[in-house]
Amino acid sequence: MERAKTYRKPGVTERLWLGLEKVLNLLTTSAYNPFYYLGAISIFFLWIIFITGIYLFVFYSISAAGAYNSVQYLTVNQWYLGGVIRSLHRYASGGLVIAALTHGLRHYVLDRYKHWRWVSWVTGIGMVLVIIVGGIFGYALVWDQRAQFIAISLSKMIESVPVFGMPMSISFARIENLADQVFYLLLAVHFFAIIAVTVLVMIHLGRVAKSVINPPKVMAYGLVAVLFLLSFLRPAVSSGPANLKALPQAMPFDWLYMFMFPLMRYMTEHELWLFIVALVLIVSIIPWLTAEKKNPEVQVTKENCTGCELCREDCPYGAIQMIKRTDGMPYELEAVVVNKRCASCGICMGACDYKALNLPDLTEDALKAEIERLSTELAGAQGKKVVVFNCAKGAWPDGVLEAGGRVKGFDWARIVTLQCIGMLQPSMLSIPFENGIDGVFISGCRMGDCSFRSGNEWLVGRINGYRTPVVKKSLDRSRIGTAWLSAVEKDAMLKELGQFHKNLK
Amino acid sequence: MSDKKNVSAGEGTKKPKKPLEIISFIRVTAVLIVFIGLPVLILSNISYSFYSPQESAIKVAFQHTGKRIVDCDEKDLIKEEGKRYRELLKTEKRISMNMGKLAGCPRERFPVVVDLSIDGRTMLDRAYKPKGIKRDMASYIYDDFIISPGVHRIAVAMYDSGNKNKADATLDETVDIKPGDVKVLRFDDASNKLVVE
Repeated sequence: MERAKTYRKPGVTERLWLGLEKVLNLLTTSAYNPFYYLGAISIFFLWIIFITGIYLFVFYSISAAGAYNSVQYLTVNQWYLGGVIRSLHRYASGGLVIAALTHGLRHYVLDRYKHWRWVSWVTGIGMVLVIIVGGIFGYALVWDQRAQFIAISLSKMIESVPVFGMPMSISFARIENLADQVFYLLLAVHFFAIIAVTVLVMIHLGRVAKSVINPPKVMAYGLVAVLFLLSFLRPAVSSGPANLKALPQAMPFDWLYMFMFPLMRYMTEHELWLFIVALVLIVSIIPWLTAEKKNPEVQVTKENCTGCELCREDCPYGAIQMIKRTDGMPYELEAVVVNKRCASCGICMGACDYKALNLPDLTEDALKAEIERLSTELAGAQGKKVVVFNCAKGAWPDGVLEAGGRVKGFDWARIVTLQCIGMLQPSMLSIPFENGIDGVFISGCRMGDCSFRSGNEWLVGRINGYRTPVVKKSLDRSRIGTAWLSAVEKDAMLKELGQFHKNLK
Repeated sequence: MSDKKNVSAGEGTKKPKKPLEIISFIRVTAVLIVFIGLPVLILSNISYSFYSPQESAIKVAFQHTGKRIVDCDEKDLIKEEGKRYRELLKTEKRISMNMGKLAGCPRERFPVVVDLSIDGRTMLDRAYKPKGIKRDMASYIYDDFIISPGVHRIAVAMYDSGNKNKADATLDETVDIKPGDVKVLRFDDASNKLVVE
């Protein structure tokens, strides 16, 4: 049976990005590639900001007269602790913006932001906005010349929106007008940002069943080391104290947070608001602007479902829910698919031993029939023969789909391409061996970067016997080869396939 | 090189834990320095000045309450109504305060209008509406202007009684503004005058 299903090859930008990650993998291995942990790195920075923030708050004087001096006390008199903590707070904030923006950009470039991922995309944008607002208010708290500039510019922006009452600019016009309450307000917004980000993080991860919220230990130590390095190399310091009788002059400027203020030199406050709102709206609706037709969602064959919950356990997006049995079968539960969350990855198919889940465009029966067909076709060939299971999101040779699973120069191999390697059901691995094939080679996404989050990891667990359903013990593991590579590493994939073939006994 | 090659049989039933690797730590830290450390260090410390050293500013910043549009003394009305209430109380059993009469006393105030000219050039001619749902609170006046340093003649007129023909407060003063200086023009409630400081 010829398969009608086709898969998209990565575009130029995607290949460039993956090429960069390939280089980094040479240095760090994919287990520690920071690009695979940008979300977790962002959360790690949030923790550092939170913890260091508590210390800074203890010493902070919430008043116009005391704010600057209290920060200076930490920076100068207590440079060995308070000064370092202030620097960690500052640089973790900068790192947060870099990590969060790169995280978003990576998901955009790698086409991981549409359909079922829209909630994460939109909340991600919300988080960046809240982080920037929180950071700006944090800078204002220092009450140095930079803070003075921020306070004045921010006030103009805020009061240009007619819903806000008393113009804050009056408070920042004369020192006599500046009440301590203003600093309470600044601090409240700064604190609120952490709360808002926490809520948004929870929504952001709400549709991700097995979210990675902590970077690996090695990376966590690395991040701390980098922050300390920056803190000692260039400690965070204040500029001169705010002086409302003079215009703030040259100051150390944090472009990660304050990038919009220089635009006020060229735009009115209303134009700047319009620019910001338009930019945020456009970026927010990109998942819908660029959406193509979604693959059909997985379907449950209720009479085959035993309610074992393995599919729910393995689904990376929480798209499968277990409900009380509705058909009188002697099982407690049955699986139902939440279509809007379904990524059509087929990982649940790989988890099901009972043919209860099927992608409409690639059923388990059709897939098994294809494995059987290719195995039979190959069985008559001379020498050692290999059936390859290939993830469509990982490395796979050009033209293999059109050639019906054949690759030029690899006459001893036939390739079965899957939406995600996680849809490889354990019993499928036995089919080639039952048909006289000598080895099975599995090629999936880089570890830590499965396009559907966990497919490769689950499969390794099934083969190694620590994740059900397990591949049967009687299968000779030395005849199963694996390669975990990204879409730009097809040459490496073929090389490893060749090596595996050569080493087969 | 891919991450893992062949899958070995019988690796146990638990996912193996990785020890902390010093080489990996050094490599990861190097990558983090390049992709996070350096951008943060550079982008958070670039010197920038929004204002040129050859710029100064004048800010018009104060709050002021305009006069009432209708000259209605709420206190007198309350006193009067209280007196009537007490009188009636002596003869009647069921009486009530005439709240409608009090509500009929409009509280709305005039906007505060500020005209500002610097060296004869009009910089500001704006009416600042009173705050509050009933427009019965103070007006908040804020505007700022970047000007070149030097000697400037500042002329201001403020109107708070709705009559644009007669200013309620005026100021005509020559000020010497140094580079980077900020002069604040405000209404001083104590002296009932406009002042530049």
